[in-house]
Amino acid sequence: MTPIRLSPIFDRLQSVKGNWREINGMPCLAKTEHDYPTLRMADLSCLTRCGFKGAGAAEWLRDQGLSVPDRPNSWKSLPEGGLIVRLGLSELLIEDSLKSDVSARLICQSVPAKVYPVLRQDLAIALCGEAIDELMRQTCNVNFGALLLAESPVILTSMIGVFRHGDPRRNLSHLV
Amino acid sequence: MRSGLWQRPEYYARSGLSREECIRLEAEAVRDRVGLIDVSTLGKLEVRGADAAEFLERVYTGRYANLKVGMSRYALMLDESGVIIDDGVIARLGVEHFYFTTTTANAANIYRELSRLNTMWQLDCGIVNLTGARSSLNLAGSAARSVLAKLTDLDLSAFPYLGVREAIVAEIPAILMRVGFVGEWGYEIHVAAESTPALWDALMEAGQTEGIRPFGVEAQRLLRLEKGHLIIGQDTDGLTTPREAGLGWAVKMDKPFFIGQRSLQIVDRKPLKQKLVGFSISRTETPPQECNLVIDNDEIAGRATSIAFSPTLNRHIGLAYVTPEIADRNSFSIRRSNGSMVAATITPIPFYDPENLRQKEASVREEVKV
Repeated sequence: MTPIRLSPIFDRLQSVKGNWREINGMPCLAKTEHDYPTLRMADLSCLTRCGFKGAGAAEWLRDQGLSVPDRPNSWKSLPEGGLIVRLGLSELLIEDSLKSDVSARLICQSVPAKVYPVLRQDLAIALCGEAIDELMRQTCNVNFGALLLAESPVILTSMIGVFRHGDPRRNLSHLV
Repeated sequence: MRSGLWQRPEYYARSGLSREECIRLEAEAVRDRVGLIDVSTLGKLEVRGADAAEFLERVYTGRYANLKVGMSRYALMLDESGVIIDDGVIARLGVEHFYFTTTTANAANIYRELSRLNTMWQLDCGIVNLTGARSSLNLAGSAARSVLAKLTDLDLSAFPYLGVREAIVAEIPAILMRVGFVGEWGYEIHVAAESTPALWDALMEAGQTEGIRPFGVEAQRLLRLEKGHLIIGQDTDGLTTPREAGLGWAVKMDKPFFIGQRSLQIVDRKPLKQKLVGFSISRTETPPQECNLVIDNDEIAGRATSIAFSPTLNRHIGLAYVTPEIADRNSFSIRRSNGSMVAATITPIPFYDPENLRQKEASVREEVKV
């Protein structure tokens, strides 16, 4: 029986040798057979996420007990891991960690006026390793080396022609 | 085949069969039994908020403030000059919640334009682009209901034509729209993109006993042509107004305002320059090609926009823009690419099921007129 959740790159990952397991109802390549010391890539599409738009979205999320980033294009950590990302003045993205369930909790709630839930169905990839700057230089026109980690920046750009959000951390880039 | 930014199946190849035979078999499956097509490339948007209905009233030519929750309606969008730029279906999921589709090629542009208008008008509503987040499959044919019934607890007997429902299908949360683009009883099933493979496989398995067959873009283009449904951008161009395209019924000029209304008020006072008509050509003739010209007294008098051989009607059928004078005659001539002429007989559209009987219960359905 076909799984209810499938990653957008499920077919592409079939050629990678490794161990698969189901996470959040989605088959995931949990560990690869070979080690890739300079650059590693992980498909995080299995993580649950949701979005909210509207003039009242940030305030409503604060009312739910979340610490919302003050500035557009920045992110904060959720209490049990995961991210809350401010994509614009009135648009936010929440991505859970493997331990948290913020998205599931929020999606079930009725929202007030000026808050609009957004279904998120993203391909999410984490990149890490010392060659990450080189990779980003070749595939994206943003100079990630000039960004300050302390400002928790989020970049909305295109990478090989595909729109993406990225929150660069030291030797780690998380693309949604 | 490329379709805007997407790759779509033109048809599903079968060993030993030609392209034409494959397309014909796919079309016949939809007409006689049931077929399944991936229509995920459609633009899919949501508008929510207290002014959501008002927003749509201003953007589209139709009326949506009076659309009942649980129903959908055809939607036509014009530019400021009254030219058709897009179409789709608007479904009302709640009093302040609408879900609607756009054409495949225009999804990003329409979302950008609606966002600009919303910023300008400052209405109390928000627009969400779900084109990449949702997928949709169209299950179409007389057996569509029996196939779907195996996968959902939704009461399909209380699901009228143009109705919209939220339900679980094959354990997947879905929005279902009872629309009929290909002219048969059908359900457009919209789900989260990640669940599309599971939904596709479940429908194909459930439809085995009904003889389900996947169908591609070419069969869909034939089926919608038989039904006389237009493809915006193919059967319209950068100058086409609703009256020329025979879509005057979708324009509510008595609304207080919609984009393009003022231009249409001016255009409507002038005589028509061209009019879309249906035509038929004998199966023994070599058909012209789409975009071949209509010639009258050695002058260009129009052009063909869609042409296909219809197995159901056993003749070539098509749509063409012609002058109003030609539209009042019985026939006209089209010049083929090699310079030869072919006679086309003007034929009322829809070619197939003009009384829409295929959308009615079998108990009240009569033999479909073709």
